Formats: sequence, structure tokens, C-alpha cells
Amino acid sequence: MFKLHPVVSLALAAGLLLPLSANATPNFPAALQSELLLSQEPSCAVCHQGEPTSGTATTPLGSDLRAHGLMAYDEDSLLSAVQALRTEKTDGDGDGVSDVDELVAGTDPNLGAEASPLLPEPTYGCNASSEGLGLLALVGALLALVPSRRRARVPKQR
Amino acid sequence: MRQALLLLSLLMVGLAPLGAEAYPSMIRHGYASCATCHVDPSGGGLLTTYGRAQSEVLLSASRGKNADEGEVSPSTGFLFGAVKLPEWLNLAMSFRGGALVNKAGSTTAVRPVQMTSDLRAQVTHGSLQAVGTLGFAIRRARAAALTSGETNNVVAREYWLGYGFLEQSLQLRAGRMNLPFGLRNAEHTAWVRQATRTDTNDNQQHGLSLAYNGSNLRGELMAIAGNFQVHPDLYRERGYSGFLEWAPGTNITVGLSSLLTWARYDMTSREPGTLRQAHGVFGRWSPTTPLVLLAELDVLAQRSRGGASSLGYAGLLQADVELTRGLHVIGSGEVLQQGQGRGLGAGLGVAWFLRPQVGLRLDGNMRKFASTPDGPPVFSALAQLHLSL
Repeated sequence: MFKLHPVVSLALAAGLLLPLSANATPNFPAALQSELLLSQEPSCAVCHQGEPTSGTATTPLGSDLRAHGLMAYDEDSLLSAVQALRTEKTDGDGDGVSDVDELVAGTDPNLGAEASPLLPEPTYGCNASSEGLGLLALVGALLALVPSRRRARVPKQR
Repeated sequence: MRQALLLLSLLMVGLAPLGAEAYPSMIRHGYASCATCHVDPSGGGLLTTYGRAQSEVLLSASRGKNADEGEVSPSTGFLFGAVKLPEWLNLAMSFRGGALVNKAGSTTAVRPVQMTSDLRAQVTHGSLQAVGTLGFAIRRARAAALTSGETNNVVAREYWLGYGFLEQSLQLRAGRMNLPFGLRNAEHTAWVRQATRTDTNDNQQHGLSLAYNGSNLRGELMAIAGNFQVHPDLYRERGYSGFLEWAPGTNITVGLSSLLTWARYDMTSREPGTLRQAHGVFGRWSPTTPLVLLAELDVLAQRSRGGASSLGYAGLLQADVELTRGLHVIGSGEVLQQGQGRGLGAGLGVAWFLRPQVGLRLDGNMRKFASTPDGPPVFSALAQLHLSL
């Protein structure tokens, strides 16, 4: 039986016992919707970069909110940070429309020139659509048209 | 005994079994082509019967009982040979996971990682084959998920139909496949894989591809129809990805890669009308059997309708030294320039193939990210167990 160094064993054991890292604060989109009377919850991507959108808020809006006291999971800190941005008319993307006004108007406060609409959050899996299965069925049908010749599959050896 | 229990607990955390990984360093044994050992004509994933045998003949620290007679142990088969499969069916259980320690400044995070827990299957009928994987991911890999949870998802990374022509040297495939680009290295978080979005964890896309494997030339070109496990459609990328690799000798190759995609909105930056390109060169060289050098350098370009554009590059240089049979030391250097600033990384690891289809790997990695030029470098230590049953 091989042996593991005690330090490695400890690191492995510790890794198994510790919880996974935290994701984006889940209550913030609903809090923003309620505070700003938005028609829908804003996407996590207004504050978080990367895929999946989680971890530290690093978009221009997210950074501004953090600079104004935003703390993870603390709804009061979110609302007071939003109020501060509203008062200061902070415009992170420099397009002349304040971040809060952009959220209310449904445009992305992080994208300037085009005032892009707030995009829907991407979703994953095959339950939202059958497009993938449809595509597979199509290519399967195409392949089925290829004339089949039975041939032994011989692995090539060098 | 304690070590055995630790290994067993690792197994149980992962809930399943070893990822037959891609090993471009097999060029040290004269394998410039990947299709000999892997079902995927460009390498990685499910092994062929011949590939399973090579894990004992060439990779493993322990040789089979009848190795001198040129025989391969039955235990290289599915579930260590406990279940005999019909010729038309090829199955493998694959597990890759362990523990990760990240340290940035005074902040240290330790957590378990479960990278792969997949069942891989191939059904063959003459020149036609159907290949698919089904697994479980505790976190991440959402772009390959069949379910829609934030965590704990059922994932299907690959599923495709293939038809072989010309004695299998040409293969036409359709379905969800790894993007053919650059080195198909096992380190899926390498910047050359992440920045080009061609890693084998969850960056597969649906499409149609044609692969060629000749005596000293191989390549694959894939028409990308998008990742249909991501919704809505406006985030899907369409375009092409491909590579061509030439082997002037049995111990050296050089290749070119190219990728171009367009999406209505980029998934990461959320920029509208994003055209993304990556073009690069890569090579493998084994000047002497114990040493293999792998290198890849890619130019990265991205431009959006909103006016945002960036030009950069990603590079990887890796040296794999086999100290003694089955025991490898792997050193690597990385660079990434994307937008502002340049990131640098260096890594040192040990890979130990204890026995056929069982491996351990310990890696230390230091990265200085361009996004935090004044911040401390991030140190990562990763211990992995690989099983392929």
C-alpha cells in the first residue's frame, strides 16, 4: 500500500470537510426590484461578471455599490448604497444617464453608448427548450442517409 | 490503513469513477495521433480497448503479470474487468476530483473539487458509432448541464453520432463535441483553454465536424451551431473551430488552430454583436523519451457592435518529465494578455499513475492576474484522484 504524506492527507481531509464557496447574494435582485419598482428582477450580471455570475460584484455598478457600503447578504446596506447612488447621480458607464435611472428605464448601467437592454439571465439545461434534441434528431436523420457498410473496426497500431 | 480510508472517502465524495484524460505527452511513446487510444478522433475522453491496454503497457507504474509475454491484464477492462462487455459496447466510469486550496494575500480557501463523475458510452455498428456521457456536477459545468440548478446538476458533456470513412481515417460527426483547437490537455483551467473557451469541462458545442487522422497529419474542422444547453439563443455562439497538426517525425508535431464565432450577446461581457477569434500555433516534442515539451500560443481578438474591442494572447509552455515508470514531474508557465494588463502563471506538479486507470496528481500553481495588478498573486494547490473504471 502506498503512503501519503501527512500534510497531503490533512489537506485532502480538510478539503472534504469544508463547505463550498458562496454564490451571489440571492435576495438582492428582488430587493432592487422592490426598491426601484422595476417590472422584473434585474439580472445578476448588472453587478457580477463572469460565468456563472457570482462572487464579488465587479461590474462598474457593482463596484460603485460596494464603494458605497454594500455588504453581501445585507439588504439594508444595498438599499442605502442605492440611495447614495441616486443622490449622487452616479453614472458608471458615462453615458449621461445615471445608474439608477438606467435600472428604472431597463437599460444596462454598465454599457454606455448603446444603452443595451438589461439582458435576461442565461439559463441552462434541456428543460427550457427542445431545440437541442431537435437539432440532434435532424443530424441523426442526415447521418442515417449515409449508406451503411458493415466493416470491422480495427484499432490502428503504430 | 488510514490512507486507504482517505482514498475511499475521496471516492465516495465523488460518487463515481477515472476520467480517461487526454495526454498529449503520449508522443514520448510515438503516439502523435490521439485516435488510436481515444474514441474522440481528436483525443480526450472515452478510451478505446487499445487505449485501455496502453494505460498498463505504457503509463502505469505497475506492469501486468504477463507483460513479458506481451499480454494485457483483463483488469484493464470495464470495472477492472469485472464485467465483460459485448464488442459493440464500450463503457467507462470516470472520476476526477480531490481538494483545492486557494491562497490570495491573507485569504485562504480550502474546498473539495469534483471535476468529473461521468459514465461514458460508445455503441458501434459497422462504421457508425454513437457516443455519449452522462454525469453529475456538484458545482460549475453548468454549460453542460441537462438540469437547471445552480448546483448539483446532471451533465452531458458530449453526445454525438459519427460515421467513419476510408478505413476510419475520416470521421464525420454531429452532436455536442469538444471544440477542436490547440492542445487537448488535461489541465482544463489553463489560460489557453479558458481564454479560447475550448476546455473539455463544459465548453463543448453542438455542431458538425469532419476529422482526419493520417499517418503524419491529423486535423478536425467543426461548424459550430451553438450550445443548445444554454438559453436563450442570443447567447449562443456560431462559427467554426479547427486545427491541423503535422508530425514530421514520431517524436515531434507542429499544429495550427483557428476559431471564429459570433454571438448576438457575449455570454461573459454581455456586449452586443460579439465577434470572437482565436488563432494559434502549438507543438509537441519529445527530444528524449523521459522528456516531453508542449507549447501553445494563441492570438485572441474580440470586437462587439457596441464598439468594444480587445486584442491579446494566451500561451502555455509545459515540460513533462517521467522520472521513473509511472511517475511524472510537470512544470509549466503561462501568460495571458486580454484587454488591459498581462497575467503570468507558473506551476509544478507530480502525476503518479499507480496502476492502470488509477492516478494521483498534486499541483501547485501561482498566478498573477492582470485584473488585479496591485493585488497579491494567487496560489493554488490541487490534489486530484483519477479513476477510469
